Amino acid sequence: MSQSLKPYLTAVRHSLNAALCLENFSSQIVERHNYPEIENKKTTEVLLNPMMISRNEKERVLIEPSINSVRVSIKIKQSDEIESILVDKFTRFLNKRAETFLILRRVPIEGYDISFLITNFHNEDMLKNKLVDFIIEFMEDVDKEISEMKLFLNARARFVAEAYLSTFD
Amino acid sequence: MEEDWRRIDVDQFDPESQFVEDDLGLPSYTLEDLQGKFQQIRQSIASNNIAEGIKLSVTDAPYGSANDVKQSYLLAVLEVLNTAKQSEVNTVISQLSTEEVDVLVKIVYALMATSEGQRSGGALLGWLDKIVDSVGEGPIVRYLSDPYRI
Repeated sequence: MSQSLKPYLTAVRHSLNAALCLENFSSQIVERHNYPEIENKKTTEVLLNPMMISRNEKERVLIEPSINSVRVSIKIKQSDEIESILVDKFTRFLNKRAETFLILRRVPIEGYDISFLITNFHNEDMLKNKLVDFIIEFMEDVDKEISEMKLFLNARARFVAEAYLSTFD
Repeated sequence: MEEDWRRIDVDQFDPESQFVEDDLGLPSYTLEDLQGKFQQIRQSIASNNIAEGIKLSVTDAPYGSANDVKQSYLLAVLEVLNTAKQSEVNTVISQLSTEEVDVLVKIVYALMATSEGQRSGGALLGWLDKIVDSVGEGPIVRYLSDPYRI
């Protein structure tokens, strides 16, 4: 693990730990409804201060807590165009399956690549420390995955180019 | 009628709107008021007295001021945080009281949201890491519901 990755991940872990303290909260505006308050933002008194944790200009996490929901948005590292294409494809693949992926938000919020929306119901069904572990693990793995994909892509492109150009030898 | 009237949030005009934010009665400083403090902070950096610089920056932060004042205040603090060596961070933190650590965490979070702070993200994360190591997650929890924002 590189030098600056560890403090980054521990900072995210502690911030998530602090933010994931959720309780059931019925809407104060519409009777018998129960919204994730961070999404409709109509009841300002239950929204808490957002936390942005950044490793550098290209990598950051935004945690927006509220009384019954936390929105975690991740900006994945993209150092060149190939990486941003790969990240786009990868996150779109996940977002399409958001229905089965409980905590995934279907659309990432603006300026970020992927968003998670954790409500008090998720927190009741699942263990809090496992949820935090999952997000940390996701952040660790997604970087590895993207750079691996980039290597495969380059290897394949080289192979294709060689096979194609060998006919002109 | 340019605006899409279906999308107007009518609830905001509700006379019975439930929540009014408390007036915290904070003084609004201008940049000129803070020049003296910036000077002191810069002096403490020049004399390599990080603990002094941090102490100065966490006392009496300009909460009620305009955004550009807060911004330049944050940048002044960023300089102190950047000059500190990783080895002396722990001793500096141990000299601060609980309230002062809370303010420091608040400043670190605020800095990480600015582009200048993101450029030196490593140093800020180091500070946050050391703070949590020595005093636990308390300052983060207190930051969440803090009405005194910077």
